[in-house]
Amino acid sequence: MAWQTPKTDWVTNPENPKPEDFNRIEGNIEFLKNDVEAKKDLIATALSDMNQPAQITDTYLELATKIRNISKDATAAVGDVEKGKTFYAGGSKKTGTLELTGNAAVGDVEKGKTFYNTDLKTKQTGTLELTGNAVAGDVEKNKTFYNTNLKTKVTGTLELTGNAAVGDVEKGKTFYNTDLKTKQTGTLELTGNAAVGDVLSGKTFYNTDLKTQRTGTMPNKGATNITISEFTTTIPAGYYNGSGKVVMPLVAGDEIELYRSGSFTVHYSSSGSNWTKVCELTMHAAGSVRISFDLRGALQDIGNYYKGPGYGRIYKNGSPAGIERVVYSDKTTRFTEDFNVQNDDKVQLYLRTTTSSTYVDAAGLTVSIQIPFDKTSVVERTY
Amino acid sequence: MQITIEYTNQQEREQILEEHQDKYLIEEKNITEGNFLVFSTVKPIESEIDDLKQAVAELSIALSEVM
Repeated sequence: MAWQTPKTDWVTNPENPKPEDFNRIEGNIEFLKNDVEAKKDLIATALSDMNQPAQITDTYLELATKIRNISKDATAAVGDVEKGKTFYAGGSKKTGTLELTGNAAVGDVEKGKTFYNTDLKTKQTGTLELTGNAVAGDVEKNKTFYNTNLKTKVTGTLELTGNAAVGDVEKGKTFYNTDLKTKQTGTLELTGNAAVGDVLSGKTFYNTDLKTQRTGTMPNKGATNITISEFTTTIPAGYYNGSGKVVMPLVAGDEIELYRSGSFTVHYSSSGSNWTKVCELTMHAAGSVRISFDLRGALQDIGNYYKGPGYGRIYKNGSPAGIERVVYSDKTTRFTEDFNVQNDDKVQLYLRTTTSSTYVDAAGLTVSIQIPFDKTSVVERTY
Repeated sequence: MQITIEYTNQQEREQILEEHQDKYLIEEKNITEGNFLVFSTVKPIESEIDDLKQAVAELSIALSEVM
């Protein structure tokens, strides 16, 4: 039955109710009853949907209580809801305080991973990517690092195991031996003073420079035997291993040189034509000695060309003892003569020139003795 | 080549020197074994050098006289 417009002017327009008036009034009452029950059912159903079970038979007070309890099972607190946004919980309206204050930027978050920093509604995607190329062997032992994977920590294995000490490394050069953080400076310095001539030929060595290998030049004479031919035989330079021998043949007639001089000059300008002593040798033994000297004819003081005869003579204790020698040309002639001498005798060489503006010179004054016997004729093993 | 010739007196010495004027007297020995003159057929290098020095000196003098 539908709702009928009620008559509400019974005071101003009185009339006797008719049956249709009663039907309208009863009909409207039924309509209201049905309408109220239908709406109450909707409310009860809604309450049940909101987790507050209700029936149409519930009183309006019960329904009102259930309505107020709708938000009491909510679990959100103000900190769970975005700051400034409102919600109902615990039977009252509340305002959220949840606020994002992250400061990560996309470059701080692994590439491809999403996050929120300050805005709850803006999801961001990280771009952080590791592209290191160090491997474990490149990093100090037990030190950890990440190369390409943010979640994979790698432990270094690089370990220095050098055993060089500062004394093993060139002075001033730096190095690391066992500690990656401690730079060391070498002190090794070569201070050798050997020169190439001090080291055997073909043998290599270093003296002051670590990078310069040198090769010795000293001849290796090994066990070379040296035969003495004169009193002052020169020993060739080189290394001798101690096995060689110095041999003097001692054959009868051989001469042993006892003395050899340099050169002598007598100028007419200072000595005139007088015999002039240029060398004196004191004998410390008695016997026969053989004396030789080279004599050259007188040469001009200026120009060095032949000008006249040059004279030379051996004196003994200030008196002429040898033959007077004369060279008439610019040729050099060697004169040799034997003399008997006594201990402390003074054997002297005199020179002179008789031509003005000239000089005469002599050289190679030698005193020798003769070996009178073969050594094997003096001593021979017979047993 | 060297030639050694013995002499016993001054006359012989002079004669030998005369006979070997084409050679160079390089040594004279008056020793226990005897008296000897030693000649060389090769001009000693010292003499060669002295010859050159003398030639240079004579040239210098000649030049100084001309100039």
